[in-house]
Amino acid sequence: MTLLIQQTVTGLAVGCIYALVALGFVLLYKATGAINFAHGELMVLGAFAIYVGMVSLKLPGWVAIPLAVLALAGVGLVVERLVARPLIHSGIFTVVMATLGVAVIIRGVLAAFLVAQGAGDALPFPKIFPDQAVRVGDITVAPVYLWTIAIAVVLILAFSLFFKYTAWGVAMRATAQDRVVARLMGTRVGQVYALSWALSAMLAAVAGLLLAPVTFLSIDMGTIGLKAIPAAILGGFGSIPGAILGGVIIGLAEGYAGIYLPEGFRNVFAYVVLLVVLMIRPTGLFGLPERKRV
Amino acid sequence: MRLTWSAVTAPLGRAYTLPGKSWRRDLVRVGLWAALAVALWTVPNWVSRPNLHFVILAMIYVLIAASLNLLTGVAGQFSLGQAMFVAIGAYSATILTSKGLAFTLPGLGWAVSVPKLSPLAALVLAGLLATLVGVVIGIPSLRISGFYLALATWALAVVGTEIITQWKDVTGGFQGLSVPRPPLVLDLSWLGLGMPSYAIRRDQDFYYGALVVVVGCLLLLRNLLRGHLGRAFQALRDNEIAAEAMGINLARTKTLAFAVSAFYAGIAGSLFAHFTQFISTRDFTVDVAIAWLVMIVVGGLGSIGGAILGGMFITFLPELVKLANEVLLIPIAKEAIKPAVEPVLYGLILILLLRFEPLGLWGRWQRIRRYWARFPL
Repeated sequence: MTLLIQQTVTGLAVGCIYALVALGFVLLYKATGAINFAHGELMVLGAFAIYVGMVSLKLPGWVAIPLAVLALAGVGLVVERLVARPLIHSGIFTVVMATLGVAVIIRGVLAAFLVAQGAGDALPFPKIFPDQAVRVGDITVAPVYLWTIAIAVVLILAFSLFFKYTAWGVAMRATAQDRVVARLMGTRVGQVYALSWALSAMLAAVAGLLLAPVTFLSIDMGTIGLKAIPAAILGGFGSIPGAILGGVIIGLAEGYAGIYLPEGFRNVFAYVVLLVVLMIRPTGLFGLPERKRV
Repeated sequence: MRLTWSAVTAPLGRAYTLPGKSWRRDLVRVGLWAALAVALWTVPNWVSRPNLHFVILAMIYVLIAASLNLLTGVAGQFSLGQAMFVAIGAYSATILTSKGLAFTLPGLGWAVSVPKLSPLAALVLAGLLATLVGVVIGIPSLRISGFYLALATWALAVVGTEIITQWKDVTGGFQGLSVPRPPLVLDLSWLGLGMPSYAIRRDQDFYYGALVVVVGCLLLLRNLLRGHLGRAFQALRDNEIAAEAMGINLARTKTLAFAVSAFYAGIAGSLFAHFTQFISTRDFTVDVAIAWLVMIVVGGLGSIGGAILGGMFITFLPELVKLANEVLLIPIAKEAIKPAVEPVLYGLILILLLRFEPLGLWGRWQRIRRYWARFPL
């Protein structure tokens, strides 16, 4: 029972990270229609940026982390301007391949960085969260997980409010619904696209900040970031509450699969879920069915 | 009926003649094809041993690119699972030629045993097994398409890789399998071409075997693409609903696209295993499948020429980068930049091509050719 509860907390925390990654991913898809396969790499880049700030430049955490998040916003803007916007009228295949190209470039740069640090495949991440485990009765929880859950909940709430009440949030929703009409209504669609990329990259950086203390700082973290895609599909692609719920469900399911199912299932459980959802209900939990048009 | 030059050259060039074409141009075409054939046949004579290795690898990649280009470029089924088909081909060819396969189906208690096979039989069987898997992987395509299909094939590939990793007693898991060179001996004396027998001992022997298989496959593919099935694939890619309205059976055509593509991929996998003589799950990850997608985008979507250029690109780019590193970069840049050069170049080429030449290098070549089409000849 203790194990179960502990695994639930861990699963919830991991699920929150997935949810944050999925939130950035879906946000971008909703506003611009682009599917960003470099999202996992942006997350890794964010974690590396924090590492550079705290270890190489020896800045305190409260300076380095916001700086890294801002830097990622800049990266998002550059990618939008140079890669995404010129391909705005191309099909989904082209956009996916182009963002894969971005992913390859980021991975190459980070590999060179690792070599320059002389660190092999992974670097230890600087301590951000306290080490002291929190005990409640029999259950011990690492504070990282509690922080993760707290930050994720705050960010998700903030984003819901942002979409609902701010002018930019409304503009993003309008663009998501219909680009042309939004432009006719005076929305600056180009700026909305830029903002979406920046926000999405910033969310990726925060997810990297939360994930890196749990794993090591390595390029393979991006693979974990890709699990946000099953989460987004499970929730219904294009639905933000769905992405969050999907992330949490996948995180929990993986945790339980680690205990109750034979070895190997844990790694692929998210993908099994993805397959089942795609076969049975491609619209996911909250997605709207898409109509095919000639 | 007069026998014209174009009737002779039709199987080699276009199936029709453009107005204003002269027999001289056909003559040139026949000459070029003949020169290419001679060049290909004599490659082991003028290419050094280490380079021959890359040539053979490039041919195998060309076959893989052709299989993926058929599925994704021609039929428009976005697949991230191609590495799975190649893996099935590679593992089944290895297991069938080295020890045969014997296992009991868990639960049912059926004993399955397949004897050791000759490499040729294993080649075909590997292709057929991959076809079977291809049909299964193709099932999601009946309901979903585009990005969702890419995700479904991606998920299947991840699960498949994990199965290969866990099924250690057959596949060797992470450690991989070492593959013996096939003990293939063919008696060719009956051809009367002065070739007494063919046995695979050196890379050079392997080259001829691979050449026959790859060129044969490409010619078959070319015919397939020109026939009604190839047209149906293209219709499927361009607009599913319109294709259906024109009487194309979507389910059947999609399944066929997956089946044919997987067959080619299986054969390529079998060649790959026997050539590299070692396979492990690392050769068939999703990242590898993505690199193959890059290969066909760079080479050219939806054409055999694109597959050929793409296969060459993916093989020779790392070598070119290595060369460029030695010649250019080390004097001016630090050692640390080295690991970044190849991926950055790779990504940049991909993005720039998508932006400025969506049909890849082959599309660019076609443009150049059209530009020079009126060159007096």
